[in-house]
Amino acid sequence: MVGDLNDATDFELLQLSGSDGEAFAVFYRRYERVVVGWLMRQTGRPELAADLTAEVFAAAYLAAGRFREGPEPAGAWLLGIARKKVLQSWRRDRIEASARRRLAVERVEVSDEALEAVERLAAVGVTELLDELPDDQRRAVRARVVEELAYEELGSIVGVSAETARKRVSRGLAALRRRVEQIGGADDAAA
Amino acid sequence: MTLLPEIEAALLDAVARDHAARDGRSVERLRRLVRLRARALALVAAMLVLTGSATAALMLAGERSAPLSGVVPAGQVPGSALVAGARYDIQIAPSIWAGQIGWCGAIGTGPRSSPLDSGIASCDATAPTATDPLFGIAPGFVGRGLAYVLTGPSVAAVRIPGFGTVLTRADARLPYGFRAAVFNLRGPTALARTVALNRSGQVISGRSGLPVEPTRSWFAGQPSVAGACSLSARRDSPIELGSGTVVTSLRPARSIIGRAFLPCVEVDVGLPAAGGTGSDFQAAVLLDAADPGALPAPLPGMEPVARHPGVFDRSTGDPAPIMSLGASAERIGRAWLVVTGGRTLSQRLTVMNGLRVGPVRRHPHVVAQREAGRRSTTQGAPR
Repeated sequence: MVGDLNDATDFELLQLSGSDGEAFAVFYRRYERVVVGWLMRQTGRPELAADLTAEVFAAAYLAAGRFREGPEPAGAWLLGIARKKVLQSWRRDRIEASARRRLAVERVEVSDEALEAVERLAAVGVTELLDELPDDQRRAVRARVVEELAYEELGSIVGVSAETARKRVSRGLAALRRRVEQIGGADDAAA
Repeated sequence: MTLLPEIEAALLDAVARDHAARDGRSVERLRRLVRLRARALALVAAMLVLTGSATAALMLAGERSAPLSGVVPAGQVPGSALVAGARYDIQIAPSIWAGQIGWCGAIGTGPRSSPLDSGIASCDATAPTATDPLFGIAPGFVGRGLAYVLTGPSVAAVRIPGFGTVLTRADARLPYGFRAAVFNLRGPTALARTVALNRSGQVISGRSGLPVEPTRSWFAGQPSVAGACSLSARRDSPIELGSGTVVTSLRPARSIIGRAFLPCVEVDVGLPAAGGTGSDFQAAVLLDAADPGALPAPLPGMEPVARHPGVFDRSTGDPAPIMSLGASAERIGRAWLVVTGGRTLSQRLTVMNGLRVGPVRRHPHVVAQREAGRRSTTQGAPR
């Protein structure tokens, strides 16, 4: 079953999450490094990045049933949640925790080893990895995830249709995730 | 290999508990089958009575429930907030999640003779009905350790597949004659398939028929969505409103045992001046679930606050903020304004005073606006 789930699309995993914990586990593992890396780059503090990672995935689980396939790829959707959580945390000067409270996620201590791994991940920050993407994908991901442009706006800026803009964001995020997984795999092997 | 295994485990444990809570509702399909079987057995029993062969009601046997407060037994899962030998205290409070009528439970824990400082929350936000009297199923941590099931008054025992039968117990802190079965799970069980038994050992089964209220949500920074109720920040108040959810139409839920509450709107509230991780709040407007236009019942476990007429607070135990049991409330017209979270009563009062409760829209005759001079010193009707 796990093998089947590993082949499932993000949309399928999110749809199954409400009834199948393993589906959510696969979704978590698929995007953990992307989210942690992005949060680490935004906050610069591994403990805060770990806390917000839990918050982002708790919020994603609670909202999974509302996720619709297209026009928003799941990676952009997830990083959009992460961005909101960071903004809320900065604005209120405290770590956003509403989704964890709602889902009753127990507070846990993260080991020093895990926090060191988070720091190592940040050393090859996700944002820098964007530079490895083809130009059209990099601009699309930045515009959509960081600047939160609508696909119509994004498309009009770069002179393509909204659907083409969506595909570029989707491809860019998929490439980004693969690259982060490669780095994570190398890190695990070294450890 | 995951980067943050502790975070992953905590998330997946919470997801499993969420599934278990919802399975408790979907298991009604199974219960319908059980009910059919029970009817068949009842027919046989009736025939036996008619023929004079019936002797006595079934004898109910099982493990006695542990108390709602006590010492954590051995056998807890490493990593759980519960540690053998520590103090535990099971509390319940109304759900404040918009549209979800029911109760939330939590096991608070802490060193003996010290305040509760941690715990495990389990909010399935369901309420007991005559035919579906199980409403709070808390499966411990990762399905093991100290667990409990809350029930309506008619439940004498619960039968847990893979574990056994536990006799329920009453407790003065449980409202409306509710009962609880508290036990220590030692291995995997099918807690979501727990069955309620009456005093004769017969299965109580059926559909709860509780309505699921339609809701709409918004994120922080977005305008709030219009619904049946509203909460807004007063001008010049020190609070910040965040994301929220509101019920879009009100329907009475008349089949519930006891008096239950319908959370009509729920909003995240920040108090920037307070700072710190523990100072997030949730505010909600609670209506009477059976008649959203009626005066809602007193809030269980809340006591009047000295020098603050009309304000009530959960004074016993204020476990970790994650449990959302630290709460203050004030009756505003025919509604409760409830504020949970924060570290202190003072913080919650600041939040409460910064909020404005709008009118309830389904019933124009219900005016639920904060008005000076309408505060009461008991949880009864406002003056």
